Amino acid sequence: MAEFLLPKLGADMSRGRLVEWVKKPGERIARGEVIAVIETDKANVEVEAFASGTLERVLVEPGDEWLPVGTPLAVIGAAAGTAAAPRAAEQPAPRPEAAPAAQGRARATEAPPKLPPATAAPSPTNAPASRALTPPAPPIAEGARLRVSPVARRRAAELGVDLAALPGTGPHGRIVLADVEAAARAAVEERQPERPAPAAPLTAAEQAQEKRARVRAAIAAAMARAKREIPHYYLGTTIDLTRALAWLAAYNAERPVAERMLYGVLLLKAVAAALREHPELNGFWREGRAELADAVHLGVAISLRGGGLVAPALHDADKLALPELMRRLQDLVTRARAGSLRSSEMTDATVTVTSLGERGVEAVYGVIYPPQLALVGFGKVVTRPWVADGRVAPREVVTATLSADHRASDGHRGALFLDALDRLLQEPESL
Amino acid sequence: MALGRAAVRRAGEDVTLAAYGASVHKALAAADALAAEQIDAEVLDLRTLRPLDVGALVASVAKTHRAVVIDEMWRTGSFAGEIAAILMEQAFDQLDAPVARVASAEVPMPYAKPLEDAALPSAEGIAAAARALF
Amino acid sequence: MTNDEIKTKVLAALAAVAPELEPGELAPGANLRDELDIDSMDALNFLVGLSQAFGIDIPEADYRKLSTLEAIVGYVAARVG
Repeated sequence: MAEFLLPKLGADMSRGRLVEWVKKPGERIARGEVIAVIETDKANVEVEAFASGTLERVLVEPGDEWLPVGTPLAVIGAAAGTAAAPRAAEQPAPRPEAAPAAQGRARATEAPPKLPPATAAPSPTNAPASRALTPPAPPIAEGARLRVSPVARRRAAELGVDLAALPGTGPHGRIVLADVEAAARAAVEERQPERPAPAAPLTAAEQAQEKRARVRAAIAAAMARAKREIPHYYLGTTIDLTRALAWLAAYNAERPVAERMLYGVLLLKAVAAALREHPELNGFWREGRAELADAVHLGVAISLRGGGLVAPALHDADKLALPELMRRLQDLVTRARAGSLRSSEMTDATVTVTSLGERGVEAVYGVIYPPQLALVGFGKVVTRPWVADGRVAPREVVTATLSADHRASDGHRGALFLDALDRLLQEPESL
Repeated sequence: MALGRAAVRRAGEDVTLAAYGASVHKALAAADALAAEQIDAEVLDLRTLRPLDVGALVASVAKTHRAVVIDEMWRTGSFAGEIAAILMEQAFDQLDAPVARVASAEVPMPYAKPLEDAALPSAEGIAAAARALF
Repeated sequence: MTNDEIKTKVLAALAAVAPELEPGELAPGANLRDELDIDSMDALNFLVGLSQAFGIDIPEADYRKLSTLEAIVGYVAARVG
C-alpha cells in the first residue's frame, strides 16, 4: 500500500491544486499512467503514477485549495484482486521486531541471521551455512556518508525532503522510504495552520492577475536560487548555419506544410548530440556533487501566451530522428500552451535549451534552471559578412551560448561542447 | 508451463521472497509466519532460471522495495548471487534495503534427513532474513 | 468562395493558435506576428490549418508574403478561385 503524495514538479514548485482525478477509486493504475491533473503556479500538469496498483481511495477532492508538496492525495493499493493485508497501524513506524534485533544485525549482510530465540526452531537452523567464505566487510566509518536506501534517496529528491535532517529507522539507522514519506507528511502538517481561509470568489480579471502573480513568484524563486547557488560561467560562439538552412529548405520544399520542419529542430538535435559527447553538462547538481544523466532530455523553454514560461522535457532527444523530434516538439509546444503537460515532462529535463531569436535578440546568456548543470541559448539567425578562405561572403549565422555550472564543469569543457555543436550543424544530413 | 515466466504465488507489499523449485513452499511458509508479524511478503516463483523472468523480479521489487533470494545451491557462486546482482543493476533505485540471500550450508549434502534439512534453506531462515531487512 | 468566407476561415485558423484573438480588433493591415505574439511554431501550425481549410499547398518561399490578414485573404483567394 502506498500513498500518492503531491509531487514536486520542478525546483520552483512548493504547492499545487488538485484540478481533476483522471482515475477513479477502484481503477487499475500502471506506473507512468496519468492519475490526476494538478495545477501548479505555472501550469496544469498531468501527474503520472509513481507505482502500479489500484486507486483504493482518494483523500483530497478537486478544489480551489492550495496544498503543499508532499500532501497525501490518495491511497494506491496492491494490484487488483489481491486485497491488501490488514495492518495493525498504517503509519510507517518501525516494526516492533526491528528494535531489539538491531544490535545483532551487524552481520546481516553476511548471512541469513540467526533467529531470535522466540521463533527459532529448537534444532538446526541454517546459520552455520554461511559463516565460512564471505567474511563481513569492515564497517564504514561513522559520518562518512549518510546511510540512505536508494529508493529513499530518489523519493527524497522528488519530494524535496532534506535527508541530512532525517532520523533513519532501518537497520544501522539507514533512512528508508517510509522515513522520507513520513517526513514529507510531517512537513505538510506543520505548514497546515498557515493556510489562509478561503477568500471570496474572484472575478475573472482578478483571477488572471493572481495567476500571473503566481507564475512570477514561481519563476522568481527558481531563478533567485539559481543565481544564489550556481556559479555560472558563460561562453558564446557564432555558428555558420548556411549549410544547415539550405539543407532544410531543400527538405521542406519537397513536403506539404504539415510535414515541414523548423530550423529549431536542427539546433535541438545538435545540442542533444553534442551533449552525448560532453556529458559533464547533462544532469543535475545534487547534494554537493554532479549527478550526470544517462539520457538526454532537453528542457525546451516555451513562452506562454499571457506571460511566463515553462521548460518541459523532450525525452531522449538524442535518439530521435529529425521528423520525429519535430512532431514531438510540435506536440509539446501545443500542450504547454494548452496547459496539459505531464509530470514526467516537468521533472525529467536534464538540460535546458532556449531561443529568443524570433524577437530579434542576437544572444541569450541564460540562467540555469536548478538543479540542472547547463543551459544552451540561441539568438536570431542573421545574414553577416563572413570571411572564409580569405574572402568575404554573406553567410547566415546564429550566436550559440552556453551557461554552465562551474562546480560541475570548466570553461574548457564548455568550449569543446560549443565546438562540437558547430561541427554537428555543418553536417545537417547526418543529424 | 511457459518458460521464462515467473508466477506470483502470494501477492504482498512489503518484501519479495524470490524462490524456485522446492524452496517455493518454504518461502510460502515463511510468508505465513511473516504475515503474523504484519510483514506482507510476496512470494515469486521463478520457475525457470534460463530464461529468467527479470521483468517479474524487477516489477515485484519495484512494489516491495526489498528482496530475499532463496536458493538450494551453496551460497558462494549460487544463482541467488546472480539474481542479487541483476536487482542491483536493474532495480537499484527501487531498493530500500540490501538484497538478502538464503542458501545452503557449504558442506557436502548430508544423507541423513535431519542433517539435510539443517543444511538446506528453511522457512525460519527465510523469515529471519526478511525480518532483518526492516 | 467570397473574400468574406475566406476571411472567416482564416480567422478560425488564427484563433486555433491565438485563442485570445478578438477578430473585430484585428486591423486588416496589422502585422500578425507582432499583433498576436506569434512565434515560428504558432506560424507553422497556422499554415497547416490554412492549407487544410482550403486544400492548398503553401510553399515555404511564400511565407513572407503572409504577414497580414489582408495579404493572407488575397493569397488564398488567388489560389482557390
